Amino acid sequence: MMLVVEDIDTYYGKSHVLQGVSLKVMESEIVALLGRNGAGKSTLVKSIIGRQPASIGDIYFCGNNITNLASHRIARLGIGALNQGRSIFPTLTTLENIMIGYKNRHNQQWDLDNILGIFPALAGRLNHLGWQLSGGEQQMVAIARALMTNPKMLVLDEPSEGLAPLILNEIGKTISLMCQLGISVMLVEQNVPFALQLVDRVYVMNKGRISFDGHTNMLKENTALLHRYLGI
Amino acid sequence: MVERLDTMYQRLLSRKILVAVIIVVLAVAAPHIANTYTISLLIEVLIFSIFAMSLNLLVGYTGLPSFGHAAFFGLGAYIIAYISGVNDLTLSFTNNILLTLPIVIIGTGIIALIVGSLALRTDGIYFLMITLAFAQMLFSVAMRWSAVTGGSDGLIGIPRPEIDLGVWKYSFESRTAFYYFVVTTFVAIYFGLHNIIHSPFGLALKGIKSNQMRMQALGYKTLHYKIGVFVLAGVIAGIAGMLLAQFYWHASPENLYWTMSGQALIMVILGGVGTLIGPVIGATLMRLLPNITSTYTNNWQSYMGIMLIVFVLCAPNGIMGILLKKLKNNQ
Amino acid sequence: MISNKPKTDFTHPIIQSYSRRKILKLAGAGALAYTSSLAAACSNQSSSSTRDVPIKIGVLLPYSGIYATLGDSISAGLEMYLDQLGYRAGGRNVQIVAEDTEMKPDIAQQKARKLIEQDKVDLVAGIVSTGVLYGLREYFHNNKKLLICANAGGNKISRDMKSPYIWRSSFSNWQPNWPLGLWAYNNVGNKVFMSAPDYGAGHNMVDAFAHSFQSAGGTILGKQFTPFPSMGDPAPFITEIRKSNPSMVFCFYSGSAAVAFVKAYDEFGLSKDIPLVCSGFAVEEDVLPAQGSAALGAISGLHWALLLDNETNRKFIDAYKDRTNVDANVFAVQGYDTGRIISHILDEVQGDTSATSRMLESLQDVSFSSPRGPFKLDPKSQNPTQHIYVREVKEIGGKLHNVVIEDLGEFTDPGNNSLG
Repeated sequence: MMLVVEDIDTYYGKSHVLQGVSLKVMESEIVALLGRNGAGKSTLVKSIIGRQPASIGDIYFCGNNITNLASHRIARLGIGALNQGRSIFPTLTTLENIMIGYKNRHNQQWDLDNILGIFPALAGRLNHLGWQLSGGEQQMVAIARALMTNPKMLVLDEPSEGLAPLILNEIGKTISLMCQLGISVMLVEQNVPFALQLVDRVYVMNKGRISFDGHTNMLKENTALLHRYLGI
Repeated sequence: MVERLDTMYQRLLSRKILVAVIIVVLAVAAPHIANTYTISLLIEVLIFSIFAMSLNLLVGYTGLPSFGHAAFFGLGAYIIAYISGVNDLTLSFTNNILLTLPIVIIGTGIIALIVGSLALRTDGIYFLMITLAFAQMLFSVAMRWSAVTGGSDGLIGIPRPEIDLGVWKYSFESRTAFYYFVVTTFVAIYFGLHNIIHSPFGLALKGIKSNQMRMQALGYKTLHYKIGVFVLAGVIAGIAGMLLAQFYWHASPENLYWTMSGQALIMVILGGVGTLIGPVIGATLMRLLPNITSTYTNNWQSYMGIMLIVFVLCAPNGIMGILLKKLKNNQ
Repeated sequence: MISNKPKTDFTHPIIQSYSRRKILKLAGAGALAYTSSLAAACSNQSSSSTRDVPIKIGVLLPYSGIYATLGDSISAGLEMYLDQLGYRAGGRNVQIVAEDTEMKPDIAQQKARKLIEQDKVDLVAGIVSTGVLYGLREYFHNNKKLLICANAGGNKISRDMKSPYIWRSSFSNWQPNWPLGLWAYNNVGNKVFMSAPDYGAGHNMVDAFAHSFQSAGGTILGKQFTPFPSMGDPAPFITEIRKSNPSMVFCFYSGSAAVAFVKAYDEFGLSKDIPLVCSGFAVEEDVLPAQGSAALGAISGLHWALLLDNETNRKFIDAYKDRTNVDANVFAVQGYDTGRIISHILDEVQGDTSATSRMLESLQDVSFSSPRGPFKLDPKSQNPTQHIYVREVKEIGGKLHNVVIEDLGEFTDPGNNSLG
């Protein structure tokens, strides 16, 4: 078991955002977390990566209780997170953006060469500043940087946002590749079709609770649910 | 394509080497071709450049808006005054740079570590206020505790440094010798900073400036990096303060005053935030302009103010920003 | 208004044409005789070029910041004296090059170097604050350049920090206050509370007064040192004074702090019962108009008073008022006497400013009648020997002035810390 979220409650001040949320991610598995805007997806991500710790319940990662760890500690345990939006450093070059993830840890699995093997498009852009890259390139850089930290699991918050279909396809391939490399992925998405073609298991959130939990096919058949919680 | 890049790089490199050689020759020859006053100005410019470069580490590279950097500048001046100064208040214990420099570095380093550990738990305007408050506190201690600090008169009788190896001794007492001492220190710090900025540590600082949370998500304990750079900047400012005190033979409470912090900040903004050479340009302008204009006007500060506003509005990256843009357009 | 004073080049407008006439004159036989004596003094300099080039006097004063008024007054006094000489001394034209120290030691350092090394001034005068003076001490000492200090009163420069190259035309902080302490014990009261700003001059003045006052048998009930440069709300300090119930209060303040303190002293009703004795700067002509009737009756000690009755002073105050439209103050007097000392030096060396040792020697026998009375430079402390006057603020012709009530005689700085 990679990640276990056990019945957590998270508050923003007095507002009770997450109410008894539970979720699991297995080794080398891609899991989608779907839901409309404001369903609590981002808050759940923040609770997992230590930005907004849960006040009740526990979160385990590879057997460690990470509920109240500082976010840099969680990152060091092997959760690579990409925030919503373009999570690159706009004033650093592509090369710097990638290498900033490289921290000389023991058994470093990634270096620039094999990163560029996955993202050959970045090779010619290494000296460009982050903000000069296209949306798709930025997303690739962000994933490349996350890989440099030797993650066991990636949490991707809306990677599809604002990307053209062709590029979306590329990103989708990359995500599948992660899974083949043994990295679990938790894909947080509003783009339901994009997510459903990639994953085996789905969680659907609504108003701070998990309202569906099951295989992709089960969700696809459940049109009422798709309509009610995802607007499809 | 790759070949073209290579030759371009070669040409750029050879041009860089040429510029460096010219600068080195000029720097070495300066005392023999320029008059003593020019050398004085040069010494001052170099000392303030070191000070501004150290502040730029915080403001330009890490995005920490310190408004109390004079605290470390003044601290360096008072520490050297206290250990080497010859007067009735000080210890006059040694003037050997092999001892005094480490003491100044350790002294300012420890204070910077304490202040940094507290102040860096805050952000933005709060950090600015805490650094300002700390500097003003030191200033008022320097003014009030006259039995130790000499109060408003400051501490006098600070000698120029010397190197004492027991068997061999050399004093940087003459202006030319002291000039070379300052040039050497400047060059060492400049290249030291150059290496730091291009190291993983420097990259982490840039990352923190850009987005601190993102750095944490990558596993960086950003507080430690910020404390590290705060101590480094404090120590370098302390060395600059030490040099100024040795140059003037005097440590004054004004070295700690907020206007001194402000001056350094203006140097950084004017020259170009986040470039290595920018603060040097800023320091040169800030120290030379008043010297030239004050002969014609008493209002140079107002002109300076107007210039600064124009810069902030029209060229937020300072003079270096303008130069770099031009360079890029030419290519 | 003196504040409209020009910044730098004080070459008198007349001087430009004047010097041209002088050059013509130089060709004359009389001038030739003069140059031959100069040629001996400076062999490697062409004597005629020495005669053509004006002597440059560097002036370092604050023309901005809280002490700008002091800088302006000293400047005006100095210019007035040189103007009276037609900007001529030692057989040469004299020119002033002034720089603003902004009251900052680092700026003052830079400006001093500029004056001496770039503008090649022959000597420097000025300096209002002791911090700046101490900061410049090593520079002048190490470079063997003459500095005439026209105000800053830090005792040390007459004592352990003395340099053969730094002489003072003004006073030492000890000077007006030690005689005043003795006089106050005999004439005002035997229990004193003391108040001064917490910086060098404040401590110097309090120590001097306390020394003579205690030696005579007086009791010091307490000392308070208030924040400098701005004391903030004076109320708690006034309350502390009242609580100690003294028979008199001694204070030293200057500028806006002097106005704040003296006004609060009156508003809290202390001036009715407890006599206020102060260092003269606290009620000098520059602050009296702002203090108004609150200052009435304040007793002070200083080396000058506007209404001091001697011929030099009468001429001085009239000429100063004509020139600047404001009453003279003690700083203007110091500037004026600085001009006089400089012209004395230049006359003694016949305009040969390269003869530093002879210039220094000539300072030993400076003696003249100043607006402050008989004035001498003391070779031992390199500070003036001058009369100290006890003055009282009185209303004369609808205006407040310091009226001399006693001349305490001649005083010289002791040259060491034995008397406070």
